[in-house]
Amino acid sequence: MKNSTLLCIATLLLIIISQKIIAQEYYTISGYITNAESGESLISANVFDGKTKSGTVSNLYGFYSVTLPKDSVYLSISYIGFEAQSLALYLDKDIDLNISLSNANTFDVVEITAASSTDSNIEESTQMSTVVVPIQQIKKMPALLGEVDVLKSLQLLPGVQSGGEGQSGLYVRGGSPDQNLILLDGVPVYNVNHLFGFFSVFNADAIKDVKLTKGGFPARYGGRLSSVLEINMKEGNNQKISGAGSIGLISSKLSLEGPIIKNKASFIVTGRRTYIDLIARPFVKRSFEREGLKGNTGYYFYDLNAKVNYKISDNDRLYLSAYSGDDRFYANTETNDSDTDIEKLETNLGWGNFTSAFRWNHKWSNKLFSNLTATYSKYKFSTLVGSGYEEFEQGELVNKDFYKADYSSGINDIALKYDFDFIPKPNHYVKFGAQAIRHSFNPGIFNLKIESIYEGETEFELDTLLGQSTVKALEYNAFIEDDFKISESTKINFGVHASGFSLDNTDYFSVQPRISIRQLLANKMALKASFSTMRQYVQFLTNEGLGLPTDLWLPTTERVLPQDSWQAAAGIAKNLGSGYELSVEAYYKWMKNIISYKEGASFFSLNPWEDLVTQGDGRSYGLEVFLQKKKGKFTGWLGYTLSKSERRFEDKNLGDWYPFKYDRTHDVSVVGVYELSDKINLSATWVYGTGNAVTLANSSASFTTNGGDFFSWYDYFNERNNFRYNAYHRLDVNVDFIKNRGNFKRVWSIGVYNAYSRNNPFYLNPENENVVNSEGVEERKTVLKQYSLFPIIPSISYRFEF
Amino acid sequence: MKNIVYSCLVFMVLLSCEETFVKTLDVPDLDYQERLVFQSNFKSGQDTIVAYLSRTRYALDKTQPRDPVDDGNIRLYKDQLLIAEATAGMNGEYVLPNVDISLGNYNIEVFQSEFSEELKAETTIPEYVLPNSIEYREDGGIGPDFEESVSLLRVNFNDPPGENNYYKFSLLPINNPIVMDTFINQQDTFIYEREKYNIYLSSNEISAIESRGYIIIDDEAFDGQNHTTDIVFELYNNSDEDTDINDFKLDWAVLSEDQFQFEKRLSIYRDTDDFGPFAEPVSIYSNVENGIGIFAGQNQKLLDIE
Repeated sequence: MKNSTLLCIATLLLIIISQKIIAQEYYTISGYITNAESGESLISANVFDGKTKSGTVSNLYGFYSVTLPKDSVYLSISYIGFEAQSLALYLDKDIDLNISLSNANTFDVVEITAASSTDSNIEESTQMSTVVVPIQQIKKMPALLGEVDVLKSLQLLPGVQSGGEGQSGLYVRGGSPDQNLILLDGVPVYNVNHLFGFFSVFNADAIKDVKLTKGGFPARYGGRLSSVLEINMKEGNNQKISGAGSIGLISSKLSLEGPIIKNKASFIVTGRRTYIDLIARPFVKRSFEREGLKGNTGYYFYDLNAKVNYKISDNDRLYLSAYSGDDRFYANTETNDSDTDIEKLETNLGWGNFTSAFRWNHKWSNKLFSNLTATYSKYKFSTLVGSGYEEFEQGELVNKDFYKADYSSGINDIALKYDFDFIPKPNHYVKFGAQAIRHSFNPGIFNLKIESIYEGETEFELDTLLGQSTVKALEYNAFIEDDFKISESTKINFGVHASGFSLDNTDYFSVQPRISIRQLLANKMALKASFSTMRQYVQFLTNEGLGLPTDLWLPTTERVLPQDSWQAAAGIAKNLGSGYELSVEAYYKWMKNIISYKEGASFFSLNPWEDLVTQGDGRSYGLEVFLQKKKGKFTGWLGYTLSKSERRFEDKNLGDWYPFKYDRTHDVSVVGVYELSDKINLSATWVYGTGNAVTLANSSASFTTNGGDFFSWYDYFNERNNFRYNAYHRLDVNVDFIKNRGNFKRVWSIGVYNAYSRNNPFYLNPENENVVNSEGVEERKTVLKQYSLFPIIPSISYRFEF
Repeated sequence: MKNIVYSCLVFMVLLSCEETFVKTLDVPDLDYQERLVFQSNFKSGQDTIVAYLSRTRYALDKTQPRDPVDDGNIRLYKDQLLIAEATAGMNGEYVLPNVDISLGNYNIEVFQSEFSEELKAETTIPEYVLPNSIEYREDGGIGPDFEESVSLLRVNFNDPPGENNYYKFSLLPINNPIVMDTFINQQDTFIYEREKYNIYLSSNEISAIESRGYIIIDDEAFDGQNHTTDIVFELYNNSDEDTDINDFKLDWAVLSEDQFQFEKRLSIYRDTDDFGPFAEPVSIYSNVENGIGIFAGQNQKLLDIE
């Protein structure tokens, strides 16, 4: 608490001092920066005054505000891929200035902005450990089965790793996926997996902007330990009706956007669905019929995004956005052994998210902008297994025996957030706000139904609920931060994030100071450092394997404490010229009270979840090198991470430190996109990573438990995660063939995943098989088998835009 | 262009079969090295200690039987003084006679010619904690795990402060005829001794571990405090005789840290079998240098129930 008080006092003092130092007359230019063709607001567009060398960038809603001395002003407004605009004016009063930028007439030029969400050059920004990947870049990169995936693209960045072959989960700087706050239009998405993690729920056609923060968290972020991923949906073209779509191997997509009232209101709707189940249905049906069965089986996922916005005035805008997505596996069969007996089997597995957000942007003055957001988020997992038989006589049910077990778990959030951007002076950018979240956790409920009829009479009937009831909790936070330019060479971003959590009679409160410093050195080089503390109240219980929907979201309780972390990072950033940029960052992260299953526990254990978990410490440290080529026909990057991540739990590994399952000593990613012409686009990615750690017993020892002659074998290992999978590496390539006919653009995309068909490890399994020993005798032996999932996989997809 | 597309489609179809998507690959043997396995769990009041010596087996070689070691040399020390030695075992079992197990520090050294480094381990017999009272109630209410009424044993004791203490208890029948059941399995015939009463125990402790008819608790939640443990139980009488609490004694032991960790891990390991690969792997506790195993003691007494 003392720390936060000091920080607040320091903030105020700095603002007051800086106001006194600057005694000149100042005026403010403010407004919105938008795309001239679509009317979409442009995020992080640059506004720069060449005379005073002062500038700012537009916020998440395209709003900007720059305060300059009374004088002639030479404003330059730029955004990558758009034609820059220059304005000369004499500033002697506050000015409202909305700016529309037109697409550049050259090839799409994309830029991966590292360590900078607010400035065009890497060395300018205070914030470090942040990456913005333009959605255009993501769409050009090779993808598994041609299905463009936002999260998999982020796995190619230094400090970000995938869990395993094909998985969408993000492991950021030694953290686990639950420690990532993933926000879709400001609403947390709890399960980002489609198809057991092989695809993420984010449809690239609906997305405008993706920004990942790995460390050096500004005070506005909170609630998770390892990263914040902000994904913003498009707003919809308010100039004309347009659309896009694609037909791929496993799914197709369609999006439509356009004005409701030109320049005032617009909409966007996108949808995606897989169709393996639809294509396979006739074959499945025929196959069942051959077996004498009736029924169907299949799997599908779908997602829908929709957003509308309405510009009430220059000062007020409303946004309403929603996402809905579901995965479902089903298998229902009926057996007809005779005309009178029916055996039924029913299996269903489903999970899905629903999110919605309502926003009100209000410009209070040319220096104060606010955003009020009300959100609702829901994640639900359910599974159903049923089995039984029915017996009929003369068409009437005489005997029946049927049971059905339905299990469901999930989490619902209702939240209200009010945050402000305040730009009092050119050298200050203050953000502050508060948020309250009402969580409703459903840790898991069984609904068991049994029905038994004998000779027409109901013999037994049961319909009961087992498990833990819904738990409600309140999470709240408030923050204030200032991005303060102390001098031409020194910038500091500092602030404090305070958060609390209430559940029954248990209350937690935390104050988390944050600070980032940038010092410009000679030759366009910047030295950066940051320190941040984070707290997480929402717990996630997982088996660390596939992205199974059986993972549980759970609250902090009296027994299960909130998770805490602190992270320190330091590095250099340098603009090398000719579009090249280099950043090198070292980090150290300490995590406390992270949650894990106890030894021997699993999802299938019937004990209350608090009895199954243990809490402990985690630490990770590493060095990240990020070399980018941001401009020109050839763009891309080289990322390398050298890191170590470990865990320690009192109840695991006998209390000793052990490697995290996803500890990856070396991680390399190379991404290249080459625009051969305006009709052909080539891209390739290559990744290499040290194999995941896995626990394998290498010896067995026999012990007697009560003395005497009866011994049992126990598998023994020196420490957890004592064995490493083989290294993972893979090359993916892709070619886009582009054709424009008037307003219609089509792209044939042909790609190859795992081009040299590397047998990357997916899991290891001991298996019995017959082997010939050294004496030529065949014997039964247990051997360890490594299973790989994806060999070389070509793909083709067709995209179109109009 | 069309040719490229058609070629890719054909290639894709050829590869889109399950066998191609899942391949197997042999992995070299795990880094296995044969080691000695030592086990001796001893109690206060004993005048002999039994120890077991065997070899490990490769974890993937599930067919290899237990490999006892009979030509080892085991030396037992108390407070650094040699008190017993065994130079030969029978089926891996060594008897160290003429010892008086009481409070103190114990350590062992084990030599075996095939292993260059000697095994070493040390442990202690902890101070005994005598309960202040043991209160019996025939009507102990409804049990937590069963729906019928249960009996209650309320044990009150003072936990020593500032150290980890571990308690293990059970109810043992005394002076009762023993029912002998003979089971025959595929390998051999062995005799299983079953007491007259089957006892189902439960405890009010959150972190209690059930192990082979015993309950084990640690003092993390009540370190240095006066503590009361409720033991509820249900007696099933195998004969027609009336159940009488006087036929029982309370087996109340204080475990060393080593004994506690060993029993806890083995208990969790056994309970984990059903979950297979979905369960978190369990670490077996070992306090033996240059080998695997356990050398641990406990301070145990049989107490009357009033």
